[in-house]
Amino acid sequence: MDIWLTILANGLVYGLLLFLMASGLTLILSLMGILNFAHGAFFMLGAYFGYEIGRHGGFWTALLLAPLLTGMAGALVERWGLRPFKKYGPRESHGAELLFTFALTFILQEITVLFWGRLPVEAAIPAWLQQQIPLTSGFSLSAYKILLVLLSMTALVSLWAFLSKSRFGLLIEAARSNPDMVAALGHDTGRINNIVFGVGTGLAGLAGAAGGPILVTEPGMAASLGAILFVVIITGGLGSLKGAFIACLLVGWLQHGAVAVDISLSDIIGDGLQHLDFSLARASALLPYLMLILVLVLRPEGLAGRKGG
Amino acid sequence: MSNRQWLIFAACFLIAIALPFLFDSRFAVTLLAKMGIGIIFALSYNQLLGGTGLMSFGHAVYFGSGGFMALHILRWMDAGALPIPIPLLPLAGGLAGLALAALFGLVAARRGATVFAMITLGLGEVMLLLGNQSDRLFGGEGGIDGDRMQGPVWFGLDFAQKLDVYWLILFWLGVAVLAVIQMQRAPMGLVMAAHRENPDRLPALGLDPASIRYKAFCFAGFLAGTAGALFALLFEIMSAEIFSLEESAHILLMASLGGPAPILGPVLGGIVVTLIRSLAGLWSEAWPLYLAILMILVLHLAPGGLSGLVTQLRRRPPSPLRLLGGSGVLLAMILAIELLYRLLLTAPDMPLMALGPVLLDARQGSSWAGIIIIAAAAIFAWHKGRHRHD
Repeated sequence: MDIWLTILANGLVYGLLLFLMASGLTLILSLMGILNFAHGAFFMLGAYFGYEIGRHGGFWTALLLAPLLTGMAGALVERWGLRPFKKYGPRESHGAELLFTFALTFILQEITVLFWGRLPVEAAIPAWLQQQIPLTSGFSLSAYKILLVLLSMTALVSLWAFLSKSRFGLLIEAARSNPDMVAALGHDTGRINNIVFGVGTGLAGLAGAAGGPILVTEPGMAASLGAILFVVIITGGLGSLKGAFIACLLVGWLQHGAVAVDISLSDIIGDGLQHLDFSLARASALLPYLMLILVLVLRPEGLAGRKGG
Repeated sequence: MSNRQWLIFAACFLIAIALPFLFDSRFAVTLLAKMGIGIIFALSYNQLLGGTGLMSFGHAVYFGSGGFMALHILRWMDAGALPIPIPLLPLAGGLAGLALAALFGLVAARRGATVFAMITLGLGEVMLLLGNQSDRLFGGEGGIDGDRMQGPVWFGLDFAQKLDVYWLILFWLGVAVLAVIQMQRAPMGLVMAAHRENPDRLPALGLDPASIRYKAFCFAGFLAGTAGALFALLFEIMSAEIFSLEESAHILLMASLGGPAPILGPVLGGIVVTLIRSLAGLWSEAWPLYLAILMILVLHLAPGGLSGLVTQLRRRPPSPLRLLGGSGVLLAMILAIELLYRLLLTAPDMPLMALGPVLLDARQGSSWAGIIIIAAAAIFAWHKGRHRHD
């Protein structure tokens, strides 16, 4: 029983972190039509900013400043790096933007290695957050993970409120469906794009700063998490926040489930598992991709996507 | 192809044959061989990018599968199994690449450009994960190795030297170029071009975009596998790292840098990127960063790549101010990067760099001030020199 609670809880934590990133990516994609290949790299930036600020200014300062810095970096990238491509017209520009963000991933990765080296760094968790809090008899979760869940949910609820209730949020929603009309009504779509890109990357930075301490903070995290991110948004359906949410939770539960189930399998089977070329735990990293392939074969538009996408 | 093009083609081949006699050091021959392999690889990639309008972020997978197939065949031959002539191994590699592309294409080719890009990325990650786990197929960390000095001697080639492999590479390069030329003229090639130009219109013409993507994908996979097998023959070893995102990024860079022209693009891109990859490491620690920056520069300044550069320069010749400004910005950027790399990575105690008579020191404010001044002046000149319509 406890093992299922562990899977449920850890999968939820991981899935919510993933959704923090995926929501930003989906926003950028549906508003600007840009697939931000560098989104994983902004996550990495957030994690490293969080680590560095945390070393000098404390945990909460890091949690506040790192996403802001990442978002600002994103806004700068959009203004100077991405906007010049708009002059090529919608089709060519999408290809160029894709390649640009792809190259950007490597640039950000190299800069990170330059300043922080190739080895993983230990982002610190304050001592009082490290204690385990018992939720039921026999199962406890670290206070940090509970904080993560609360943080993610707060951020996502705020995002939802911003998009649906605030004036600027409604403007964004309008620009998602008809950017030309919004521009014709006198609004600065360039500024809207810029802010959305900044918010999106800021969310990735928040995920990095918050998640860095429990995930391994190293330069390779940009590529590995970036790939999972794409699995998630394709599975959920491009442009659908709801679909991305479901897909994120699925991925979280799948991966943690595989690792946990492997532990219990080896208790039962014991030495038998050693003859297999790979174990379920080692294959757990493959599971999200298998899920992607399954979804693509059975329902190509994604879980919540529209047909013809 | 017109007579003039055949002449150019023949002339290039003669030059390629003469080169290893002009530059006969082992390093040079290896470099030439790598360039040849790079061109074949880029030819395959450009069938997707410039030919069909598809951007694959996991193309190294098909290259790798061809290489591993070749190495496994070499090992089987060594163990006494049926002998396959070494010159035919690239064909086997191509078939391996084709098989994998046929399998993966079932998933990847269903959707159009953007989703296709993400799926190929995911498939690349899958192969990397599988590769690192399976010791029998991919050799784990050490990789798989083989011995190419087996089987009968062909045309006096016993494949003892890398130079022998170079001749084989040239042969298969010729085959690949001919294949691409044929594809361009065949109905399949025209339909691929149609997909590139306007994929949404295809169903109205009775064509199935997914089927076109699938066939192009398989063709590209075959060519990539051929290149991979040649790579395996050249170095006699391959590890699962060949499936990494870095490798796929390099082929993408080759195609982007070269431009969309089906043959000239890959030739230029393959040569230049192979040169940079092999030589830049000798001059600077920061060469991966430079490659990525190069890609962005090409995207912003020369979207048609090197093959489109001549046309671009003729149409919109840059003013001298622009050239000066651009060079200045590049110089300032390179100086800043090199100083930073010395300060943070290679020589923290003595981060010095000699630029002619001037010695730059990363710890001195004066060096940085100089760089900033150069950059500011260059940006100003760049801005001043812009075309009326920029």
